[in-house]
Amino acid sequence: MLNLIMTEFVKFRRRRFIWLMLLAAFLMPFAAVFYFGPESREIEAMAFYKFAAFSYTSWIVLPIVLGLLCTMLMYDEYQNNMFKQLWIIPVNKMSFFISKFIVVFAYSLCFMALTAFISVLTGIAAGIISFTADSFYFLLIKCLEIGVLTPFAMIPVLTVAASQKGYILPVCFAIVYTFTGFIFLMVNMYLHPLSDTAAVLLRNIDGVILNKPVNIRLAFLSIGLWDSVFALSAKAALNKDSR
Amino acid sequence: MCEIIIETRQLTKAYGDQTAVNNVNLHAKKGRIYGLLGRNGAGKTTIMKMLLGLTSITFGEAYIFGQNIKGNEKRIYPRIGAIIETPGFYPNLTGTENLEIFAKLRGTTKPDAVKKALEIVGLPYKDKKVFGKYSLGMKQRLGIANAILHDPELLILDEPTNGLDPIGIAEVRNFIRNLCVEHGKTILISSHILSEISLLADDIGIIHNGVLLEECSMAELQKKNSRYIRLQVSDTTKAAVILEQKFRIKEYSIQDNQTILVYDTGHDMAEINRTLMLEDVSVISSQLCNNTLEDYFKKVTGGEGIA
Repeated sequence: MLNLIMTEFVKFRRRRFIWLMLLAAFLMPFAAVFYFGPESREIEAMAFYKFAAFSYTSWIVLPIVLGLLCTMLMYDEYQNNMFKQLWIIPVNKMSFFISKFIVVFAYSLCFMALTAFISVLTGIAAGIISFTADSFYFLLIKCLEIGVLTPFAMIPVLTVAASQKGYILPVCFAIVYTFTGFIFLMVNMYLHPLSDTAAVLLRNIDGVILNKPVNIRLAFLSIGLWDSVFALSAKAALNKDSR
Repeated sequence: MCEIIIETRQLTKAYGDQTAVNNVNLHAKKGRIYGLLGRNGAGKTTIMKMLLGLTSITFGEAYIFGQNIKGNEKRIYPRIGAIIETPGFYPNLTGTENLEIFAKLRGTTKPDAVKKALEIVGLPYKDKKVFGKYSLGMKQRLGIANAILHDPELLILDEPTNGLDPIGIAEVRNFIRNLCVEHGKTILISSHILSEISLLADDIGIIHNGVLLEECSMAELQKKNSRYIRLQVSDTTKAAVILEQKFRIKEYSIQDNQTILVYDTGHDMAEINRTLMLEDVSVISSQLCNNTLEDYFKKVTGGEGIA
């Protein structure tokens, strides 16, 4: 398993696009600078972080980036005709799927850590916020929370990517999946893994008021159920004859 | 008796109504090269895929190293090296990096395994050229290097010389032969090129439309690849005695009560005819036949032949 994970990272060599996708971490912090305005008076750091890191980054930007990554990871294996070579080693199909998930997980953590640092730096550089250890600590913990939970919510996309030789359907699915997650956030939080994730994340952010108190158990149960179903589907998809 | 490394029993693969492989009973012996010969689409790759668990078996069983492959994959597959169709590698990585990935996944412990495998196939170690820029021949060589990387006991090679130039084909042929002779590897190799298999294989299986039509040793097959005299006579028993006593001919076969095939063609046909006539054996016809391997395959495959 460890070898599988290590080889997954070797495959990133000379893949510029994967690293370029990290630039998406700059998107919302820069948008926040423009939103609050460079000449505006200093605002509370938490208000800036909410816009720069906790809202659209976790609802839209990160899921789309991870969806693309999931598609790329699986599409590469199909496109390069790798499955035959891997299965005759033999590589365990579930271990293979988990190793891909761990790559997505690590990438998500890096992305959110980067988001945290860029949010602080842009906010301070633009003179919108001043640095406080407490708010930075909260930002970092929350970003890591987002980084940890979102990959679990993206397992369905990884499954769809594992079941398709092409990339069009998985990419479309990732986009639709992300936006439906955003919509479900406003309808019923416990029906969609991404809205479950958002529910868990929003539970303790100052200034965010939800209609009902967040049921963390129900959110985790929903994520767990969806992930189990999709992980089993992924196993079935990878078990298909490689003709 | 030779140990059987690969044995299939009524191996069958069907895709819906279409039967790709039908009741194949294949036997590959230890330390020998088994050539699976058939036209494109005959079912060679499907057999190999079934042996490697890449496609499910519809009916029948396959045994490798004496164990049924079903349920013993983890014990069997690490002892096999294989190329199925076009070998796949990551185009953004160099040949060395690609092999290092496979060495890691296989748990290869020898530190110089990658270097050695690349040396055998004539590819440079630690080269900066990425796989995406390799020529077809280089890709094929890297595939072979990957197959032998972990020093497997059995090699399953699906058309390994595809895309190689004539010199490359000869080199690969030599090193496959060396792997068998010097390292005692068992090799199952498929090809649609008759000359390729005839130069390499010890045993041969002819497959056509999913059916294994014949399985025999190359030596047996060579006998059929020969010139012979076909005699039609009134009394084959008497004619056989005359051939043995007067001409010291030992290599002949009586086909029926009128036909004898004489494989020793160094004798004068006219002299044989005359002697038989003098001994009161009527010669209805005598003919010098030239039966090549290709003719034989055409006959076996119902006239369609093999490339």
